[in-house]
Amino acid sequence: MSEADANTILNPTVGWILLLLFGAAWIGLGIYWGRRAKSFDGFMLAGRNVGMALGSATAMATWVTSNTVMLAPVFALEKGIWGMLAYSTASFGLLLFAPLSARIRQLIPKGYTSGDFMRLRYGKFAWVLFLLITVVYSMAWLVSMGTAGGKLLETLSGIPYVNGMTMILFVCVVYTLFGGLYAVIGTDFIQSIIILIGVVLVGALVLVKTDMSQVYQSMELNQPSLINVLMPVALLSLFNNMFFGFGEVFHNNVWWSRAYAMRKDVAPRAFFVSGLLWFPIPIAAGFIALSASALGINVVDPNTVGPLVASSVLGKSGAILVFIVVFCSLASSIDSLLAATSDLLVEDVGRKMLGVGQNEDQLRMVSKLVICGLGILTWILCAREMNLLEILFLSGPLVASAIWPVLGGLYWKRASSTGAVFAMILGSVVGLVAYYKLGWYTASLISAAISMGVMLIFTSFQKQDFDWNTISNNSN
Amino acid sequence: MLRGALIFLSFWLFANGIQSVAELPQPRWVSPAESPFLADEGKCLLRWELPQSGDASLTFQVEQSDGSDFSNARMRYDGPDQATYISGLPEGTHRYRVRAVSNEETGPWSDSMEINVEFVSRNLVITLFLLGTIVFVATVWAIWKGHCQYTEKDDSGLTKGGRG
Amino acid sequence: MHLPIPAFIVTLIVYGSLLGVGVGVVVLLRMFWKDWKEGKLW
Repeated sequence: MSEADANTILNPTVGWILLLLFGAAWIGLGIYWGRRAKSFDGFMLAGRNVGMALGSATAMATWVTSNTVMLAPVFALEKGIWGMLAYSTASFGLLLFAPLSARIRQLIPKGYTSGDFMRLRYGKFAWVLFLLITVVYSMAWLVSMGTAGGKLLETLSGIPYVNGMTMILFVCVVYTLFGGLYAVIGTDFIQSIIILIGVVLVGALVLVKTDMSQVYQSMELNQPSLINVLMPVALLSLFNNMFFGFGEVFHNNVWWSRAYAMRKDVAPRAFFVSGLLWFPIPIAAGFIALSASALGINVVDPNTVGPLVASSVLGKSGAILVFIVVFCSLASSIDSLLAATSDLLVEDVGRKMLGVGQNEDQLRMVSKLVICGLGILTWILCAREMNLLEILFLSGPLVASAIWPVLGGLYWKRASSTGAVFAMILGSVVGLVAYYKLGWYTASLISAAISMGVMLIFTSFQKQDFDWNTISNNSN
Repeated sequence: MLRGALIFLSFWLFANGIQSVAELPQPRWVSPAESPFLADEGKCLLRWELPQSGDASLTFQVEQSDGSDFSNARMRYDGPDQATYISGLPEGTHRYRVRAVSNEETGPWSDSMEINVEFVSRNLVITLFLLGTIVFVATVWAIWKGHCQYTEKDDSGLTKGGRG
Repeated sequence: MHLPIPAFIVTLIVYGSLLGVGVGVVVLLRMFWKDWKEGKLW
């Protein structure tokens, strides 16, 4: 099958119809659900009363990004079976956040952001450092989603990059603006169901048309490293991916805000379930890339191997399915990022640093302005086609360096600010050096290891116990 | 002068005649840029072009050999595209060559493209894997221990007034 | 060094993952139904 055919399977009209249909649905629902937000807590944290179903779904859907759907096949194609399993280990971050969320709720019952905790636990310097790390990472994630979205829509349906990207960002900004976290969580549930059904449908239909023994034989003959237990780059990426995932989930306000949004007894269970729900997705989405060889599909661009196989095997309906799943996975992450990053900026920078927004109405207005501002900034960076995927990977060692400061801060009375600061700085610096000198697949692991060592050393020398009451007495 | 013209004419006819039964040109490698190419993850994009040809009905055949020549080569690709992505190669040297095929004839093979696959050093992999295992176990252990220490049933470390 | 993952393990992983995702849909929908009946959605 010629590679040229795959790019034109869906025409722009179909693409626009799908975008407008779903876009209108999300915006409509966002406005409708936004009416529940009677207070600032309602807008920012969905009333702190979210249940198991919506809680599990939102955690899972937010963690499913377009990368999950598009990169998992690339991992499979380049790193084989281990590559897919290595990708799946990102779910461990959600699983391990379950007990952390319980502790967070216990320590800071009325808290708002992860920044709140770092400020109260470790003081201003660590807090500012932490904010720098998290803002860099969050913007990199946000912009890489926008860029990926535009490029994917163009590849799948021929919609020009800027138009597709603008539409996705516009829809997400509007419904997040009107509905706050209620809209985000509500749409996440629908998007999560669509993503799961889409992944299982495409996977099952590809399986029906292929024969696993044939796929295996083809790999054995032509791509033997893909079934090698000891494939080096796959083994390396196993732990690197895992620690990148830990770093992302443990530190970022996207997850902390969800911990606050869910009911107290629900949060730990919901995060655990979301981790279990997420685990099989990279494998189910990724394995179709392994069938390419056996199906006689010629891969020319590895980055689009997923949609290529789906549309080659399933024709237009396969391409439509992939389009919808990708759109949902983009929306479910972008809305969460917009909401959580705006929360962080409003609460930590606005309220705590600058003293802005001292009453509820002011806060809500500032939040909305920040959401708009973030949307515009993201659009500008995406429009310049800044490929922030590299920055996203570079942020791996940055966020991984925050794992042990967060853990120590939550559980150890002797974890000190100095330790946390040094752990984040040293971990980030050494991790970044490792990224360039040893390889991208070493950076997050090395950063986490250094950060752990530093925290352990400083904690063992710390004489004074931290008084947990400092946090709960001073939080909102 | 007439003889000169006749000689010229016959040369011209001969040359044209040669062109009409000329072979398809030899394809040229575009990517990788040079041979041999080091692929440290066992993957590489092979791209080729066929100079002086606009014939859209051509197909291309790519052969792969894991030995020193192409005596035991096997077909890797047979189709109209001018590129193919190779991944999952094991360690060692792999050679590729491509030729154009039309309805009437088969063109000559291209130069051989040598791909050397050398994985990252085994010591680095083992060291990092061990390090990863240690940090992973330590992380899980720290969370587990902390969680057991501070679950709701136990002392949360807060005074009564501070409990949420 | 080359140590191939056996074919049946690969098949198991692939089928298992699809089953896992399918079960995930059912689990989410059941949880949703339960929360909705009890008025505990959000």
